[in-house]
Amino acid sequence: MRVHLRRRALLAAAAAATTASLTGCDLGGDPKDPPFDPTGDALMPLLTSTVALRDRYGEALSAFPALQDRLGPLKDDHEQHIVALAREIGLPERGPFPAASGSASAAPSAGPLPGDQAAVLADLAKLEKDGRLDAEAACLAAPSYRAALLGSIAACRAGHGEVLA
Amino acid sequence: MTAADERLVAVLQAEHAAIYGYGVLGPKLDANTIALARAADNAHRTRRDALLVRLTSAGVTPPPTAPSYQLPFAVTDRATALKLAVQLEERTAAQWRLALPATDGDVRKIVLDALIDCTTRTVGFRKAGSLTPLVAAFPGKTD
Repeated sequence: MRVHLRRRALLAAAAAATTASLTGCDLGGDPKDPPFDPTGDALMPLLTSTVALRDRYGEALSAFPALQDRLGPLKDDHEQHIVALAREIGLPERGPFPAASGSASAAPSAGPLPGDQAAVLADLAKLEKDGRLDAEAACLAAPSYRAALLGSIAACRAGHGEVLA
Repeated sequence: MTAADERLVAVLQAEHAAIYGYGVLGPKLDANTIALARAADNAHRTRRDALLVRLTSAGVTPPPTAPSYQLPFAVTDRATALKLAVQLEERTAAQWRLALPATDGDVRKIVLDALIDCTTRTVGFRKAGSLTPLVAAFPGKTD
């Protein structure tokens, strides 16, 4: 959050400098802060898909409460990722979250939950693998200040894959 | 030295320490877990060698391995050996994670792969030692 504010401050300072140079006056500018549009944030698709992943665990646990010991901690990890991503984007930690702009496919519908437990675990393992690849891509494309967070999210999902294996 | 190379030097030191640690804990493991430790040891040696090549070719003199490293606790049996393996992986993961912001492109990819490998190995040792939670929410994060 601190970094985010600093970045916005830098943007504002850059805007101020531009205004000053355009008008040739360093006192007259009262630059408007660029409007805050979280839907355009590069992390929005990852946030949306992380919410979907957590909700899939919720569905699985509703259907198979006996899996709580195994799946509960993994669901909690996704919850923590949601909080961290929302904070990074500048959204309220518990939502509600807007849809990512231009990325309706960010959270593909996972379809109905499979009927038996083994198939549910395989379904979650597949979603974790896809989610890990998404987080890896986000990490590699991210600016420095977001790289560690995204790297940890990717690594956590890889760890989940081991738990589900 | 670039900021990235400084971070990679710190990673190299963690890799040296991990390799030392596996040498200590290996003899305390059983047939099932020794395979995990051997694979981990090999992986750390491979990363170490790659770091040595990278740093040397960048004109950086890599820090040598120390003759011994202080262990956080005595390794006396299978349980303490697995606990140390978990710590070695977590400490190495933390150094790799710190290198992420300092790197980009292909080097960041190498760093990320290493962080992920440390994390999955940690799960293996935690499973074997019945240590929970099996996964940290933010692997490598120490603050």
